[in-house]
This record gives sequence, structure tokens and C-alpha cells, in this order.
Amino acid sequence: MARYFKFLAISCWLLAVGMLVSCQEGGEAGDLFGQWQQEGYGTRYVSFSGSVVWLKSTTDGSIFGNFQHRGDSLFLQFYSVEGLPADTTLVEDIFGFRPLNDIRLKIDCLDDDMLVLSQEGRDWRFRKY
Amino acid sequence: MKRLFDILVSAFCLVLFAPLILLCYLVIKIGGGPAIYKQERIGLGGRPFFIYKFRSMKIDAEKEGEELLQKANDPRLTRIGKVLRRHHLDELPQLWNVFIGDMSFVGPRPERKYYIDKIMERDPRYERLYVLRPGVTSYATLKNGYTDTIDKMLVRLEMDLYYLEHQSLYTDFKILFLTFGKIVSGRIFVFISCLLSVTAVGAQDTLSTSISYDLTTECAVGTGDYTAFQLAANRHHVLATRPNTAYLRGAVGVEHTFNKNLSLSGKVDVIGSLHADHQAYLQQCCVNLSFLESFFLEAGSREQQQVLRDNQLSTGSFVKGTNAKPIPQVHLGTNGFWTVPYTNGWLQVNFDFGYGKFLDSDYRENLFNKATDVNWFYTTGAYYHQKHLYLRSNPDKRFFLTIGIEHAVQFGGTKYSYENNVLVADKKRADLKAFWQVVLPAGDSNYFENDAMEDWVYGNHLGVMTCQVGWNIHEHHLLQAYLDNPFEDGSGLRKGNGWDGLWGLQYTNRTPGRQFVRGALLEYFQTTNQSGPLHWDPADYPEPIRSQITDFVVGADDYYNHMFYGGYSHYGMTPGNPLITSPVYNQDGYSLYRDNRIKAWHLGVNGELTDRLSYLLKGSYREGWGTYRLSPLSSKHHSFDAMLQGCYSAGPWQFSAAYGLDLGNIYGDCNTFNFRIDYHGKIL
Repeated sequence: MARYFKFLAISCWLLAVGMLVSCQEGGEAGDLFGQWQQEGYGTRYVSFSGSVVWLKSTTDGSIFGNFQHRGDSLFLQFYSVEGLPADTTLVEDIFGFRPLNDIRLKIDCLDDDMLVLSQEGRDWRFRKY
Repeated sequence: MKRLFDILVSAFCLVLFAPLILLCYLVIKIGGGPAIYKQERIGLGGRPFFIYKFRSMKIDAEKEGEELLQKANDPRLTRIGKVLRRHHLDELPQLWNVFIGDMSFVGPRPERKYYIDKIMERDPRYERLYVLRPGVTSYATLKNGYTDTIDKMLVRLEMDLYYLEHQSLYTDFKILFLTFGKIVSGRIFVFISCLLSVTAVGAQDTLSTSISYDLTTECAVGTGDYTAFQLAANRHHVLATRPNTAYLRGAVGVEHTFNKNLSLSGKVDVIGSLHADHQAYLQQCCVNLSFLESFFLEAGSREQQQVLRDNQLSTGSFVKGTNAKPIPQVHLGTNGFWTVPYTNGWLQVNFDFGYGKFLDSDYRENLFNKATDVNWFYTTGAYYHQKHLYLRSNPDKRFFLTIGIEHAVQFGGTKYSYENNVLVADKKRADLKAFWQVVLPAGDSNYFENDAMEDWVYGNHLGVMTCQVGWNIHEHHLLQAYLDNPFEDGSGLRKGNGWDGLWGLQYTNRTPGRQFVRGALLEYFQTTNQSGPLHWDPADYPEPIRSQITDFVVGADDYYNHMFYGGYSHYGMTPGNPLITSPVYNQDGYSLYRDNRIKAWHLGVNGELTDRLSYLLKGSYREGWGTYRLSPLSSKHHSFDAMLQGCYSAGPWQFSAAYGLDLGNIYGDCNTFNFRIDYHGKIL
């Protein structure tokens, strides 16, 4: 019986080590995952997780969408739940990403701390938050 | 049947009258001398036992004269004693006699042997009463009133014998009802047989019953908006978070050991504070039945210690820490670790399982009404379920492992929110099925159709999985490393929350005698990941977006916050790790956690400088990013909080002085000087 419990203890130990090793945060999108705060704007955020992007302004609402990360390109498609004009305003006017459901951005810089996106001469700088 | 009635009703009354009992005790104690009077009486089968009462007479009153029988206007009564007698409050401790089986609620009053001998000389039929358990009240007490002479005692004997021949549950209820009526009507009702027993009986300790008490006074003064964080945290919300505060605290504990396998204990603990979050509070009130040495069944609220984390040095468990006021509950568990039979000492278990109720409904309602501009709902009457299970290999071996899980749930309750300027109530069921349903997280598969998103999982669940490795470096030196991994849903359970958790390294010195370093601890606490920054379940949304964003992404666990129950807090304080700033610190009255994404580093050291003087030093540095769901902070918050405490022990006295400081923009800059005096006394 004691041998059995020694075996159990060793198994639990291996399980624990496995659990610790599994503490990874990324996937195929790597450093992009997480929440980013737009520099100079304490109220604007963009978050990536799985294949879903969440654009949020703490003063003007938020909107969900899909994203694809291919090489140095980032494709975003946002969808308004109830077709509200405010959703379009949030994406196209407040953040400046156009058009709402077919956005293509160039990734100029992406590391643990910084994300720089650009489109037609305009750029957006975010810091991991 | 009668005995069962006695046990249940006396247990209920002990809990119900616990504050009154404590109050009487403190009032008598302040007047000087012992508060509890015990005397040997003759009980069931002619066996002696000790009857307990509150002392209502002057100390050594019986030495002043021959008179041993008590009268209604006895000059030996103290001023307090007269009040107690008038309202029969001096008899309250006899609830304990009833509970442990020495007495019954109804039966002949127990007498001292001295008077029984006197009665027996004139009427030997008294011996027949030995078949009855003596009572708090009786037919004779009702009819005969005071018995201050032997003649009256003989009359009472006739009535007791009449009761003996006609006893029934109906008769008992009738006597109890009439007794209650007499007390309520204000007529003098005194148990003569008790008042007769003033013969000096020297206090004798019994092996089976012990009564102790603790008196504490503490103050915290300084600068800043709050009492320094480290001085107020992880202390069951005893010391207020407000600055310049003080309190007086009195606690009485009773323990009765029936045999080595069974003991019963109870505790009442009251705090009165100045400039505090609560001016008067019943901090602890519980009854605990311990059986088979290792298990307990408990009802009430008690300041429970943590199973694995160091109560003095650690920042505390994510779920069941020591930061908030105790939540009253009925629970069953183990006293420490229990070695599983037939495992040759290789497996030990520690568990606890219970249900309770949050007491802070009024607090939540008041907070909501004071700050309707920032709060949009509040929830009252929430129930509480908690459990933990820890498995540990033999801790005496060179290496040992502990794994386990803690789980807590808020459920039931009623949520109030304004809809079109009308306060609307949304009540969650709290039936038997609900009590069962919260044991394992389960939900309503039709939650979306039922317009109850929060019922995706019924109740506000949170938990922590623990893995801890111990290394006995030497006979007296232990090193432990641990990870407490928090979870609020399945993603945390499968460690999808990155490096979130409490990572710790603890050294413990178990060498007897003075040790400059008794323990040291280093912890890193992170809650920034929360399984990702967003949560998207297509099932939460209608078409067409449901088919446009089809991926299912879990995250934004929003530790401690919930869309129905608000925050996992009790009177504004988190029952979990206090490094996540509790809502009580929100100066605008916001009732949820505003900053649950943090990274913190913590260091704690304690030891003894002399045989009587010990110290405690600890400090934390943390950074906070706000929350994912509600509102990230526009800029990162930070705080450095530290304290140094010296504690001098001298017998039952303990004196401590401490200094704490906060620097940063979470609590602001605070400096607090703290002084405390404790006294531990033993009554029996």
C-alpha cells in the first residue's frame, strides 16, 4: 500500500511540473495576444485572443470582430451587434480604422511591449497593458 | 425525546443569547472578582455535578454569616447582582448545564447535599427524585416561589413528587410556557433551590470544562487617508481601514470535553470600535463539536486560520484568506491534517465543506444608495458555499508534496437595479437543488433564452488549485515552494491563465527556543492574464453576429467581480488575497473591484529577539492595471506597503507596537503607528 502511495505522490509531482510548464500565454499569434493601450489615449484599447478582436473605448463603447495575423499584415473585421451607427463611429472615426468590416493594417513593430500599426501613411502606436 | 429536546433547544439558546451572556460576563468582570459562580449540586442518580451561574453576590458573601438561604432582597447581592436576579439573567449559564446533560429544562431544582440531608431527616421520599434529571424550572418553582426555609422545601418536595408521577412532554411544555410567562410579565421568579446554595465552595478546576476569555484594545493613529495597508490586512477586518481608529474587544470561549473522542466548544467575540467601518460587531459566535479527534461540525462565524498559507507572513489565499470578517456558516471538516488509515502514514487529508450566508446586505444597499452615480446594482441575501480538499504526503519525509483545491461560491440572493427609474428585484432561487448545484459549477443551458447571462454558470464561483513541495533540509529547517493557481472558470482550471497565481518560497525554522529568524517568505502574486483580455461566446449573442464571429474565446475572468453578485467581498473586504484592492477602499463608493489585474512582490520575516520579544517585518510592492471588462486604469497604479511590529509577552499579557507605511497612488501616502494590548484569562 505504501508503495502505491509513493507512486501516487510521484505522479502528482509530475502533474504539478506539467502544470507549471504549461504556463504559456501565446499561440500562433504570439506576442499579439493580450490587451493593448493606445499611446497618448488612456481610454482606448484593442485586445486580441483566439481569433477575436475587441476594440474598446472606456468613454465611447466597444465592438467585437474577427482578426487574422499573416506575416506583417493584420486583417480586422468588426461586426455591429445591433447595427448601431455608434459602432461604426467608434471604429472608423474614433480609432480611424477603415472600413468597419474589412480593415487591413501593416504591422510595423510587434514585441512584448509595443505594437505599431500603419495604414496609408497613418500609424497607431500601442503598448501592452 | 426529552433529552433531544434539551440538547437542541439549549444549543439554540446558547447561540441566541451568546451576546447577552458575554455582556453579563463583562459587566460582572468589570465590577471586580470572578464572573462565573459554580457550585456542587446533586443531580441524576444522586451524582454530584457543578451548576453554573453568574455571580450575583459579593465575593465571600457567605463568610459574613450563618445564613445560607437566599432571599429576594438579600443584602449580600451586588448592585449588578440585583439587576441580574430581577431579570433571571444569573441563570443563563445553566443553558450549558442543560446542554451537557447535567440538567434538563424541566425538573426538580438541584440541591446541595447539605440541604438534601436536612430534608431527608424529615421526609426520606426526596430520594425518589434522583430518578429525574434536575431542571432549570419546575412545577414547584412556579407554584412555590422562593424556598428560604426547610418547611418550604418540604412543600416543594410534594410538588416535585407530584411532577414525578405526572410527568409528560405536555406537562413540560406547559411548565416552560408558564415560566416564560412569569419572566416576561416581570413577576419575581427565582429558583429558590439555586439561591439556597451559597455555601462556600472553593473553585475547583474540572478536567472536562474550561472557560477562557480574551480582552484586547488597539489603536492606530497617523497620517494619510487610511490605516497603513499591512496593519489592517489579513486580520479579519478587525482593525478599520479608516485612519485614527481604535477598538475594544472581548471574547469568551468555552470548551467541554466529554471524552477523548468528543468535545464541544463555543465562542463569543464582540468588538466595539471608534472611527471604524463598524462601530459594534459580533465578530465571532460559534458552536463547535469535535469528534474522533480529527473532525469537527461547526455552526456560526469563526475567524478561521488558513490551512497552507502562513497567517502572519503570507499575503494569503486567493479564496479563503483571513482578510474579511468571518462569514457565518454550518460546516464539517478536519482539525488539521488527518492521516488516512491503511496508508502507512503516506497520505494525509484536510477538508472542509459548508454553507453559509453573507451578512452584508444592509452594507451593500447603503453603499448603492450613497453612490448611485457609479453603482448600477446591488445584491442582498446571498448564500455562501465553500469547500477545500488538500492531500499531503508524509510531511516527516525529506520531501513531501501537497496538492489541493479551494472553492467558494456566492449564490441565491436578490439583485436590485433601476430600470426606467424603478427599482427592480431579480431573485435567484435558493432551494435544495441550488444548494446541490453549486457544489460543482453547473448552469442553465437555456440562459440566453431566459435572458440571464449570469446563469451560464449558476452562482459566482472562484477557486484556487494548489501545488506545494516541502523539503525538510534538516530536522528543524523546512523549505517550501508553492503555486496557488486561481480560477474563475474552466480556463483557469486548465491553467490557461498564464503566470497568474501566488508563487511562493517559504523557510520555516522549527528549532526550539529563541530564534532570530523563525520564518521568512518571498511571494510573487500575478493576476494580469485572467485567461486573456476578452470573453466571446457566440451563444451569448443573437444572429447575425452569432454566425459572423463563431470562435469561442474564454477570458476576462474578472477575478472577484460578477455581473449579478457584484464583488466577492464581505463588508467591502475581500475574503481572498488583499493585494487585490478591496472595494472598501473605493473613495467614490464604487462597490466592485476596480483593480484586479496586478503584479506584486512580497517579503515577510519574523523571529524572536529575546524570550519575550518577537518581531514581524513585511512589505509588498504592487502594480495594478485595473480590470479587463469594466475599465482599465488609464495609467498603471503602484504602491509600496510595509510594516514593522514588535511584540512583548508577559504571562497572560501581550503588548505590541507597530509602524506601517504606504507609498504610491493606491492608498496614497499613509503613516500609521499602532499599539495593542491583549490579555488572556482563564475562568475555569
